[in-house]
Amino acid sequence: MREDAQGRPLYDQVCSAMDFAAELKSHFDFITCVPDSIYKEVLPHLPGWELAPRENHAIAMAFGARLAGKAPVVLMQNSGIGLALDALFGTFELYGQGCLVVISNRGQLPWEEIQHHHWGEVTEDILVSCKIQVYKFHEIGLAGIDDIARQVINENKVIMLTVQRGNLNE
Amino acid sequence: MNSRVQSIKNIIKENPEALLILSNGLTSREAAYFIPNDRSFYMLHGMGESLAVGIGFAKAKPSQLVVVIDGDYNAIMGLSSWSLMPCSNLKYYVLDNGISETTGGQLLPNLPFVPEWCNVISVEPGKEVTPNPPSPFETWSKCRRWLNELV
Repeated sequence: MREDAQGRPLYDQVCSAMDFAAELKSHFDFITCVPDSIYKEVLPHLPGWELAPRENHAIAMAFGARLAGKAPVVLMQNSGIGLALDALFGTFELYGQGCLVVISNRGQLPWEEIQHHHWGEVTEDILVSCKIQVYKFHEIGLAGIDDIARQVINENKVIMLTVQRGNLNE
Repeated sequence: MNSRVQSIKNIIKENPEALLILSNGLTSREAAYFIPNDRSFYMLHGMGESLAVGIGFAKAKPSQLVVVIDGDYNAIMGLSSWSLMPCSNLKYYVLDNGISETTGGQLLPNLPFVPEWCNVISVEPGKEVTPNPPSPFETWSKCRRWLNELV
């Protein structure tokens, strides 16, 4: 674990935000996001990304794009999972279509604001209990996104990719 | 005032080139049973998401007109997606009977405002006895085939 400029612990950086964005762009051609600070340096490198007002609508927009023939990716914070799940189950899961959902896993670090802590504790358990295939960015690295994209696009799988605070430069 | 089915028939007739997204519940059930066609995408779940699905489609395929037909409770649940409207290739209709018909006819609040891009159509309360719409696979496949044949 490393430290930020204020001496607070951060998870190790996996790659630059720019390289992460470039990898997403190379596989996915419809990107929607409910912004989170972890994506602050990612979004400027994703021209044409669509802002969604809520996480459930981000999922639904991605589903509409999939119907139009696109390969969608959704970016959101873990606090949006509660909103997103019913939309996810009622669209991609129900119709057997693939989507990548990138989840910033806030609340894992002790210095993060208290309102994030519970989400940091339960995020992985929730996703596992929902039988969603989950990958951790700090484990698979940038090279692992290629295989995820193949599963999403060619095998129509719904996959979530968790990103820790610090995995990308902010 | 028309029935739900007649109102949907009118919308379909007025938009012969459009892909149609129909919200879950009676809107999809009655449309699928009485007015089946390959360019209708029947939502089976996801209350409040029909407009967002339509918006995603419209942004991803700007050359294709998409029509979203929502029930009034679906519209209320999806209000935050209104912030992404208007879309130049999306037409939005709300079938308003003032109640939540499938759950026992509970009274609904009115839409807080009706923008000019939102076409509210008053429909008579009441419902037809209809089966669940076709399977998700069938709906998806037919719509995708219809879209592919346009190219």
